[in-house]
Amino acid sequence: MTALVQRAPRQAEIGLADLVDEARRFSARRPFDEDSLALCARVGRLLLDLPASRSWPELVALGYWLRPAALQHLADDFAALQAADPCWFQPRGLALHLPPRNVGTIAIHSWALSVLAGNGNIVRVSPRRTALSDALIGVLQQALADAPAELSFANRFVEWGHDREVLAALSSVARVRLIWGGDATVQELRAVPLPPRSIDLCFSDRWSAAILSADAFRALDEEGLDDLAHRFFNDAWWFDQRGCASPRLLAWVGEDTAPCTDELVARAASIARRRGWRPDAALAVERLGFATSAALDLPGVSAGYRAAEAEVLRLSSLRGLPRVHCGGGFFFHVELRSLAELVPHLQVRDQTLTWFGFSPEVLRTFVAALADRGVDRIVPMGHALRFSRYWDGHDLLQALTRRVHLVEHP
Amino acid sequence: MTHLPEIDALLTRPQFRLSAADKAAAMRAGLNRLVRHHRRHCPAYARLLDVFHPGFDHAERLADLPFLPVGLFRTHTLCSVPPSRAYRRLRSSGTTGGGRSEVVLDRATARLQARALAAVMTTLLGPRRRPMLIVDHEGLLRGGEADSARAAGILGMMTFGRDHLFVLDDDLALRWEPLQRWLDAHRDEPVLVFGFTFLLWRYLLQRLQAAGRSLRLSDAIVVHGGGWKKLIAEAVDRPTLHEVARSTLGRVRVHDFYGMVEQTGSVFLEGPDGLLHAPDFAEVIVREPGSWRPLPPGEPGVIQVLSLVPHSYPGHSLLTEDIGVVHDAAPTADGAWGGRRLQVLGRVPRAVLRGCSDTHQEAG
Repeated sequence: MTALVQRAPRQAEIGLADLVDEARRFSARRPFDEDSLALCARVGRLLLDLPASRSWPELVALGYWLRPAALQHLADDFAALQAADPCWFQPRGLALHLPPRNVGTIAIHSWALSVLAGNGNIVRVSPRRTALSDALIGVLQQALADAPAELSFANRFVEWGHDREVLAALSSVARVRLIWGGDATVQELRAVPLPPRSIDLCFSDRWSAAILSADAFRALDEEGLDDLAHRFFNDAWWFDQRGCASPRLLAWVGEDTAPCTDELVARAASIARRRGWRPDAALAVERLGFATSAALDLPGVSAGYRAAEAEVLRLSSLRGLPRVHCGGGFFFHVELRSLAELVPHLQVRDQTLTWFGFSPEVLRTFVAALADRGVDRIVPMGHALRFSRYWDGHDLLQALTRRVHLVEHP
Repeated sequence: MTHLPEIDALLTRPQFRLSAADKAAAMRAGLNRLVRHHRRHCPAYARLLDVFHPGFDHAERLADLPFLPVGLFRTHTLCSVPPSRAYRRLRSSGTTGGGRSEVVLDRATARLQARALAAVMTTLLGPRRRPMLIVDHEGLLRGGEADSARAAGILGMMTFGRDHLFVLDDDLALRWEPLQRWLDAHRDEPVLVFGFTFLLWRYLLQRLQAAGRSLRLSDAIVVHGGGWKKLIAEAVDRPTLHEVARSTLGRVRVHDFYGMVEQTGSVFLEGPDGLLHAPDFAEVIVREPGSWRPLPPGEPGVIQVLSLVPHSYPGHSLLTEDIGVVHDAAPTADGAWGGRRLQVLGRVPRAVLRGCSDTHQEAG
C-alpha cells in the first residue's frame, strides 16, 4: 500500500487509501466563514513574523496579502458579487492543488482562496525540500494547529513525487483540480481522469511584457524615475525574472525610445547590484546563450545596455519573438507607434502586461481591441507579481465556487 | 585561408614552454587574423560581431577578443567554408543539457587538428610510439558512432601508440586473457594507457583493485579525460585516482586532459603539478559570470578557451560551460610547464528554476 508523507497539519505518514477515505469526509464550509478567515489571517501574521522572511520578499508579500484588512476586502467583494447575482455561491468541495515546484508561495495563494471559498484542500508539496518550503510548512503547521479540528482535518499538505497512482486516486475524489506547470506537464497531468462533474483550472507557462509611454517617462523627475525603477526591479528581478508575470519585453510607445529602455534597465540593474543580486553562473551562461541565439534568429537586432545584472537586445519588429526566455535580467526592447500595433503580435500564451504612463482611456481602447488574442492582466508597473483572485484569466473565487440558481417566486 | 604562419611556428616546437606573456604575444596576431577570417567567411559570426562588438577591429589583449558561447554550436551551424569544402562533421556526445554540438571541418582544419594533437602528445610521449592499452571497447568504432567525440578521441590517440589493445569487451567487462598476452609481449617496455576518466576508473582500476591484481607496468603514461563528474559523485579525487592507478597498474605517470569537440586538437594536459596546462597555441581565461570580466588567478569563474586551430568554423574563442580557476604560473628551471595553469572545478550547474515552472518534471 502506498504511503505518503503528510507535512501539514502534522508531519505524519499516511496511507494513500486512508487519505482518499478521509478526503471523502472533509466538510465544506460557508464561503468566508469566520474560521476560514481567521486561519488565513493567522498564516499571514506568522509569515510576517518569520525571521526568515527577510531573505524572501515573496513571503512578506504573501503575508501582506493575507493581512486581516485585505481578507476583509476580499470578503466584502465576494458579498457584493453574491448580492448582485441571482445565484447562490457555494463551495465546490475538495480542491486538489498541484502547484509549481519552485514558486512555493503560489500554492499558498491559491490554497487560501480555496479555503475562503469553503473548500477542503489537498495540496501537493514537492519532496525536494528547500529552506523556503520548510519555512512555509512550519507556518502552516502552526496555523492549522490553532484552527478548529474540522477545518484542520480538511486541509492537507502532502508530499509526493510524480506518482501516477497517487494523482489518480486523489483526482478520483477531487471536485476541482488546479494544475500549475509547463505546457507538457499540464497536458500530462490533465490526462489523469477526474469525475465527470469536476473541473480543471490550468496554469501553464506564460509570457509577459511591459508597455510604456515614452512621453510620460521623459516627463519624470529624478524621484519619479527612481520610483519607477524600483517598481520595474520588483517586477523583473524577483524569481530571477522567471515568474510568468515578470516582463521580458519593454514595448515603448513613442520615438527614439532605445535610450529610455537603457536608462530604466540601468537604474533597475543598479538597484539589483545594491541589493547584492548577481546572476549565478548557470543563469549568466543561459542568458549569454539566449542573447547570442536571439541575435542570429531575430531580424534587425542590436545590443543595448549590458552589465552583469541586465542585458538589453533591441528589436526592429516583434515578428517571430520567442515566448521562451532565459530569465536573469534579459530584456528585449521594441518601439511602437501606438499600443494598437502590439495587438496582432500577442498570443494566447501572453499573460501580464505591466503598464506605465497610459491614461485609462488608452488602456481601455487597447483592452477592447484584444478580442481573442492573449493577455489576461494589465496592471501598473510594480504589480506584476502581486497575486490576486484574478489570475490567468480566471476569477479564482468564482472558479472555486459553484452556482446554485434559486428562483424564489413561482 | 589554409596557412596561418603563427600556428605553423607554434606547432613545430615542443609544447608547454611559453610563459603567459610570450604566448599572448605569439597568439595575438593569429587570433586577430582568425576574427577577420571568420567575419569574412561566416555570415552568422559577422552578424554577432556587428551586434555585440560593433566597430571591433582588433584586440590588443587576448582578453579583449570576442568570444562565443559554446552552446551555440548545439543550436546553430556556424561555418566558415563553403559547403563544397566541408570534409566532415564532428559531433559531441550527447550530454545532460540536451542537444549535441556539431562543427564542420574542411581538410585544412582537420589536418591542423591532427598536427595540434601530435604536437601535444609527442611533447608528452616522446617521438617513439609506445604499445597502447585503450580502456574502451572496439565496438565503439563501428556502427553509427564513428563521428562521436569518444570514438574520434580514441582514433586520434591511436596514432600515438602501436600494438593497440582494447581492454574491454562490448559489455565493458575486462578482457583478462588478451590483456595477459599483451602484457607478456610488452613486459618492461614503456607503454601508453588511454581512456575516458570514468571508464578508466570504473572498468579498469576498480576491477583490478577488486581482483587484487596489478599489471606491474614498469613505465607507463596514463592519459585520461572527459570529466570528473561521475568520480566526484563517488567521492574519488585526483590523489585517490593516482594512488589507485599506481597500486593497480604499476609505475605510472597519470595525465588528465581537458578539451572539447569544438576545439579538437587543442588539448590541455595535466602537468607534473596536477594542474592543466594549455599548449602553446591555446590559452585560457576565467571570467566572472554575467559581467564576463576576466578574473585574476585564484578566483573561480567560467572558463574561456582560445585556440589557433579552428579555421573552418568560428571556434577560436569560446566561453565554455565549465567552471574553473587559473593559478599563477609556477617558475620552472627549464621553462617547461611554465604557462598559466587551469583547474577545472566542474560544469556550470543547470539553471535553478525559480518561477512558474514544472510541477512534475523533477525526478532528476
